[in-house]
Amino acid sequence: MAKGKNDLLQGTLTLLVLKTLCRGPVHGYGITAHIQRVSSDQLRVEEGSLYPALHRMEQEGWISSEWGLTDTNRRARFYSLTATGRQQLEQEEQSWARLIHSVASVLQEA
Amino acid sequence: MGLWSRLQGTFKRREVEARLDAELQFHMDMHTDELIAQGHPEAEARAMARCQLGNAAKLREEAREVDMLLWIENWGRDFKQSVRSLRKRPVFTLTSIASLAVGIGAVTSLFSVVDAVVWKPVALPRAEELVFVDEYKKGQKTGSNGPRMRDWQTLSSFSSATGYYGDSVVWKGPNGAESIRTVRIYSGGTATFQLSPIVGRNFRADEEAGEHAVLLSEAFWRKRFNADPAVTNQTIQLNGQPYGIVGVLPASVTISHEVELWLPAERTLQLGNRKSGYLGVVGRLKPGVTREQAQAEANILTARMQKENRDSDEGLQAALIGVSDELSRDARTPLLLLFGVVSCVLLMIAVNLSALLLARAGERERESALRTALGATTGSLIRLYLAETLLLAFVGTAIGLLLALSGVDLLKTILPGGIARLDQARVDWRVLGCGISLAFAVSFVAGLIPSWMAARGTSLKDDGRTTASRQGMWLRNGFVVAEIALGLLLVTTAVRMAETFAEVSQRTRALETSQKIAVTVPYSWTTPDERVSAFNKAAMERFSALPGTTQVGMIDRLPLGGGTQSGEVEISGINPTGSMNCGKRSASSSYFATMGIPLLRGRLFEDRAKRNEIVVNESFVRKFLNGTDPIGRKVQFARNKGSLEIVGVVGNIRQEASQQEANPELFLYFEDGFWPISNFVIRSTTPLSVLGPMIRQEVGNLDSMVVIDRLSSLDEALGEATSAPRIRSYLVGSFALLALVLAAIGIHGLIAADVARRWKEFGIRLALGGSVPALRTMLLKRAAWLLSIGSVLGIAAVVGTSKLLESAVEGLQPARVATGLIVALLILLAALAAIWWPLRRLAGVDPASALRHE
Repeated sequence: MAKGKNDLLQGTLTLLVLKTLCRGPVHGYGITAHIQRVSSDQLRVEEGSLYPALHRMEQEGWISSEWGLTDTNRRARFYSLTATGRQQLEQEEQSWARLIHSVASVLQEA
Repeated sequence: MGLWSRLQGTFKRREVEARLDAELQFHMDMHTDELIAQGHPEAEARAMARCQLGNAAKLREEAREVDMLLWIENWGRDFKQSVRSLRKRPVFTLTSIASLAVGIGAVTSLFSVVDAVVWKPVALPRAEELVFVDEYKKGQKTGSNGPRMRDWQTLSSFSSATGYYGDSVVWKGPNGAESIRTVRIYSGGTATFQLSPIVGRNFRADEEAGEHAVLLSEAFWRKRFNADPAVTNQTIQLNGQPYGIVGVLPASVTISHEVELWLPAERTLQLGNRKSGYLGVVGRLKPGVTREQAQAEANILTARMQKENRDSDEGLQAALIGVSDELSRDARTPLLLLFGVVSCVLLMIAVNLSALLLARAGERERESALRTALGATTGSLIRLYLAETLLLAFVGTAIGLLLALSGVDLLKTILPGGIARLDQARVDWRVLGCGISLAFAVSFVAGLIPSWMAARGTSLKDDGRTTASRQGMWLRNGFVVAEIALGLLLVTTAVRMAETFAEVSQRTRALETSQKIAVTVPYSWTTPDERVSAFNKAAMERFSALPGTTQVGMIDRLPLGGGTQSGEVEISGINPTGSMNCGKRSASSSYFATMGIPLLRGRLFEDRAKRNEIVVNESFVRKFLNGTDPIGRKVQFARNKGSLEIVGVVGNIRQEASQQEANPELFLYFEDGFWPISNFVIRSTTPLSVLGPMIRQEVGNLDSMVVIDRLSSLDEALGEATSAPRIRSYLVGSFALLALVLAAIGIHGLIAADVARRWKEFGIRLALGGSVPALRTMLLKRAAWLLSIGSVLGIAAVVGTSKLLESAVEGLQPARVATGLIVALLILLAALAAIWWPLRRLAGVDPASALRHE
């Protein structure tokens, strides 16, 4: 499938994943589905980026994971936010807000 | 990212991949389900999901890259690169590896010996509680005896105490009679030494009091009885008497590796004379009692002993010495000396390695600049260069440790005999650990600075004429100075040792040892005097009749072998000034002529008992008589009854190899001065190989209870005395040679690197009208400066360590100015040889190409 225009901006994936996990443990597919749904299909998470990212985040200690069962009784790996992950989320939200604000200012000025 | 989780990532790689696969499968399944729910047929949905997921292998790869040890992979890459670059520079690589290997090998094997001999406690249970009671009379060490030992046993500081003496007995084994070294112990012996037999039992109290019972050493038991567990039912024949075997002592219990049997002291020596001195006394401190407390108690007891036994104990002092200290004392100084020398060499190796790496760092400045320009960080460059050093360290250490394994055996054979516990030296894990950590510490320290220097970014535009290289220059200069100073110190030390050895061997050579055979016969302490005398007389007669024999002499102890019987002398008409301690030798009158010792005045004593005639040596006359006429003077030795008359003076022969000057000695006819060792000296034109069996035959015929302990050329017998200084000087000499070579290599590397770095500068100089000779003079001037500074520091080190050395090596020759000059010249030559090639290269500087040199 060709990459669409709605590819994620680099670096925002972490933020989105952290935010998604904020509501409780979710498995990888759930994360893509959630982001897609909430953004009304505007944002698509590439599987090719998601799993390495999840892995890296786990290594960083922001998220933890364990095997569990889904509603349909499938074995899946569930990711949840750690305390450090929560802090990281806060930081990233702030810097995202700053970025949006600055970009918006520039756009208004012009 | 934590190092730990990364490492875990590597080790759990398969697990991680399996997990990822499962996760991706789940993802695909979910997606397929959703697509089916959206109305796609199942096959199509499945294909779409797979397509969406993309290449699973690539995904896996990407996920792995995160935790897959970028770190280790990077090191791996660095190592691969290091191997490549090291292979391109075989001389540098081999030199570094060889110097490291030799250094580590030498240090590790020496360490294992020092560890066993100096640091490991004596092989006796709770040896730290054991103390020797050393007796002194008027400052001279004397032996104890039965009555005094019983006094020491009353000290309340001791839980038990005992006496012991070394004895050789004749054992009638399956291969005929053999002389066996034993130790004789007294009551309290098993308790004091805490002997714990592995077979059988200990001596009972009644056996300790002089029964014919024997405890075997484990070595004796294994060798002679094939480790027979039923050995305790047997008896063995010692000195012609049956001794019942009561048990076997483990190999871990020993006071000397030569002792094969433990026996109770003989009945006749159980009590002994209070005036005699044949015993060592050992006490075991009660738990919690310090040596100082025991010493204080001993001092009170000595005061009482002096008062109560005026005739025997006057001037008696006792010093309590830890057994472990005592047993390792003799071996400690030479070993620590070697250790110091080896540490110096190790330091040189570190400097050298550092210098070689530094030279490499210089060559690498452009490489570093290029790498930096392409995005390498300083850290990654340091890592790359350190990897190279560590690789060298790894190979060098591995070879070094292999060398150490055989080095220990080599040391065991070449170190002088009689070092306690030397046989226990081995490369164990502690020694290995020490060697490995030492090697890596040295390499790391040696590699860090050069790596840092190399990695410190010069930019591509720079050509190394920055402040950074100015610092590098300081460092290189410092290295050259250090190499020279250390080399000078080591070589001077080696030369002094060699001179000492030469001096000692001179003393033996003065004895004219050719065509002479020495036969040593030990007797048991309780052998009656008459039997010894009878044997001595008969043996001399028989030996004289052997073919080709011209002279036969006999003495209790051969010169230079150390050990003496000595005592205070009183001389008629002479007021004692200071110590009147004099050595006593019992000999035959033929001994002097056989050995080639000149009779200087008067005549020799007559070979008849009870004549009470003695001859004295030159030292005796000079020291006690101020050179006045000694002939006819009456002498009393060690307060023994009856006076002796001096009838002649003979030339000096030193009793100990390390002495600078002979001790005063008196010689009396052997029948008047019993000592249970006889050394026969036979001058004969018949070779030893022919005469040897004949001598054995004669001895066997004379007395079946006498066994020859040593039968060798006199050269060899005396050579044992010079073996210690010889070995020391060889060892130190080879290390010094190594140091010299190392210094030359190091200096060469440094100067060559300097020339290489300044190639462009030289080009400019030449282009601006400089000449090659002028450039050489410039470089030589700098080298001369460094040499002078290094030499001054080296001489300072020689002077500084001189006192230490002199205390470590008995009879060390004083440092001579001539020696210093020769050594300095030697170093100068080595240094000149080292800078010769780099200087020659200068002739090839072509200004045009040098300016473009990269």
